[in-house]
Amino acid sequence: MSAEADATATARKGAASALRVLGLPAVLIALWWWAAASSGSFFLTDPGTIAATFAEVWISERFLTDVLPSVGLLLTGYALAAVLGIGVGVPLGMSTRLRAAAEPVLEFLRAVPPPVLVPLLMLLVGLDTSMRAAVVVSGCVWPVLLNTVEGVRAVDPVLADTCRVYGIRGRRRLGVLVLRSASPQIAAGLRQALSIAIILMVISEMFASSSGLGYAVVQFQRSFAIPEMWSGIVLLGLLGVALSAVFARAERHALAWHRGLRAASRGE
Amino acid sequence: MTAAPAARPAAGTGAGPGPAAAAPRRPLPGRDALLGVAGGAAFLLVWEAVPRTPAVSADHLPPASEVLATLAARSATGAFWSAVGATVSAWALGLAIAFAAAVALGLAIGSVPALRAATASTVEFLRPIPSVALIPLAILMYGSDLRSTLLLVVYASFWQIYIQVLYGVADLDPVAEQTARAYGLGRWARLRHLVWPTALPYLLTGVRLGAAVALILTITAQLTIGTPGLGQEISVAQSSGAAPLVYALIVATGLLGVAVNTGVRAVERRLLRWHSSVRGEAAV
Amino acid sequence: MLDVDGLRKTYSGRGREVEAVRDLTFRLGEGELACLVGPSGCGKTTLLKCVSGLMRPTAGTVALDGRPVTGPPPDMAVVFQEYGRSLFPWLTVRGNVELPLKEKRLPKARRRELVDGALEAVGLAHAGARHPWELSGGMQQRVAIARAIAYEPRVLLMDEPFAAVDAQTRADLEDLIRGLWKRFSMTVLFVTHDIDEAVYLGQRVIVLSASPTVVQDDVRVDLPDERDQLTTRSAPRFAELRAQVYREIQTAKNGGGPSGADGAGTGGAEADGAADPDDPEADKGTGGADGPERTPTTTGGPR
Repeated sequence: MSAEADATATARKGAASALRVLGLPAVLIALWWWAAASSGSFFLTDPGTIAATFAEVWISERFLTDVLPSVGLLLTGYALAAVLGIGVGVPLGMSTRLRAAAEPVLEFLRAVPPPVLVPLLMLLVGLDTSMRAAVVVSGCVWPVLLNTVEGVRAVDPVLADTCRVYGIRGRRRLGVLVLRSASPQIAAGLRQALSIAIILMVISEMFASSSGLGYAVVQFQRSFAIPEMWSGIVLLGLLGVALSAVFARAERHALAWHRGLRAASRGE
Repeated sequence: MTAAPAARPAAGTGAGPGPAAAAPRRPLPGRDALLGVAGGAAFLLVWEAVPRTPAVSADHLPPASEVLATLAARSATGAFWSAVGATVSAWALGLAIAFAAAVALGLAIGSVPALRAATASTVEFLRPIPSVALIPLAILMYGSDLRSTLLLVVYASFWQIYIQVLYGVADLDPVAEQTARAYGLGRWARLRHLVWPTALPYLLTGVRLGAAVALILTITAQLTIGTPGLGQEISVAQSSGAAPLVYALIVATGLLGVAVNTGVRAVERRLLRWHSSVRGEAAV
Repeated sequence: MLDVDGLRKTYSGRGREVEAVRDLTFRLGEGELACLVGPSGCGKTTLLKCVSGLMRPTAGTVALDGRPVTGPPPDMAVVFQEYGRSLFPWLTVRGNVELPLKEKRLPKARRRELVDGALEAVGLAHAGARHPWELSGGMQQRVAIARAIAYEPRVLLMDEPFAAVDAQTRADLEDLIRGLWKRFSMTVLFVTHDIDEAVYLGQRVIVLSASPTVVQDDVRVDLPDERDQLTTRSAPRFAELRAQVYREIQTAKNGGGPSGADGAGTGGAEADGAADPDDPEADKGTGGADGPERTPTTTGGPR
């Protein structure tokens, strides 16, 4: 086989994978375009206009006044919820009695749909930024907490015995055994919490704010600024996609051992 | 170190089995339940006590007794039950639509590798889009109609179920697949006897996740869009400043959530009695 | 040096009481290599857990150098049967071996020396940077052994360490253990269900009866000190000893327990199953996560 043929083969392979990745999105965008053009519907804006509006609306000072504060708020609330959830989840996971005592209350609290916290916290804390952060925290903490409890509970007894035999206890035990072995489950909880965080950020702004991304999008909708509204929806979508991509990357890095272990045990 | 156990220093060397000196203490069967009741009671007590301290105003956090009394009074009204009914039916309808679509598409796309590859990038992009981003669109298109709620609910719960179906179909044991082919099972028979049982545990996991998400989005839509239901009631109570009622309705949504979770888990357990993950879970 | 005296362990769960170990008394001298062998399900694992201080006996005592064992003693190391689960999958091979030394607060240079020495001794000097799950089963068990010797224990307990590796690897590991035992002059208590292994490895073979367990016999292995797989195993004396232990175990199975335990070898897993209803309060003080539910939770499956 010549190098040339090799090169064409790789090129063909590259083209095929590009088609696989970009083919359907291209078709869908084309369809959207066609539908917007042919239907003449008031609500349906074509992708070209949305893209142009997007640049105009969001690549401006609005990015600093509406987008960044929202994202900052989301991340702050999310981080606080993560710390709180893991911090409370670990002792609950380690003690059977604590867990038995807390279980019914936790079952109930986790079942409360987080968005109802928005009106609640409006009553409690008022309309300001700390209320919005509190909403994000109080909604995100449950998946993290419950998954931490499950993960800590499921620590391998042989590993736990190993730690006892070698006198590993206290903080090192927490770091090297408990948190590490619970980490895949904690990551699952953090992942659920992330999508809840976005929901809560958006609706707390829609519901109870005079600034922020969610507020801006609702304002556009109320004033029938349709292309602007679409650009806001696109921005929210991109935000969700970006956050989940960052999360997936971090998870892949932190849980490399877990994937390796699973691949190894499946291979046997 | 651990509290010194009852290992007495060589009392009566080789004296054989004495009467169980350090009697192994087993928890009573009802111990956990008792602790749970105690935990719940403590929670209610704290809730009752805190508003009576100067730290928190009872206007903001009414004591538990008042909230529960409000809930009891409210649940005697027809309006409350029609709100519950509206919430439950929107939830159930949305979940059912998402389920049907996700299973059909998931089985079809999941079992054809080419289709799966072609749709992967799109799915990866669409899935993390928060469904609340669709709220303005839903309002514009459907107003405060049931369809607004359904749009959000279906979008959010569809992905949960769809992804699990894809995992389930991918988990198919190649040996079983080859065996089935070797015995000449047709496409339909393979789907029925091979793909479906393999994918079922995953599917039910998807339904469990999807059901919770669907409830969240149902309430969200009612809160923000104002479609009728518990969410809307909460929003109304909040804007009229009726704190006890807000809390009472939130407790009601929590109870609804518990009912949904328990119900779905019961269905899962029943359908998967043969599956080890459920058996293991039940044993714990 | 290691004294087990009148050891008894009963489990009570779901209304009935199971007597796993009835009355065990034996003694190990300094630097001895003894093998414990018994029919499957005779409570070998329970015994080892009591000896290592991981589990409290219902009655009787375990003493190391005259001091009663109430928790894992600092100069004792244990190698578990489940090598895949006793190594930390998120640590490298080196990290696994080094971890207990960190807890001992040894200086860095000393740790490096010990880890290098231990890995060298088990023939894994090249694998330090890899993760346990990248290695074969036999190699993983070598890592666990390296971790144990780097800890510089005076007593090494081994709980059916080679039950889950293939025969060839097993022979290599047996020779490894004898080599390490001589080199590091430790006291070794080696639990196995394999009669050949027990006779080949030990200076002594302690034969246990079927459950509820007592010491059935204590056989001196008077084979020459230099052993190798080929000549030792084909020596007439080896065959005699092997036959003696075999007969003891048969008697143990038939006459031993009123329960008429079926000795049909299914590996030593039963004892672990019985260990399930562990008493919870033992762990409370140190904030141990290993509470009562010892049920291994598999993380697989759709969750």
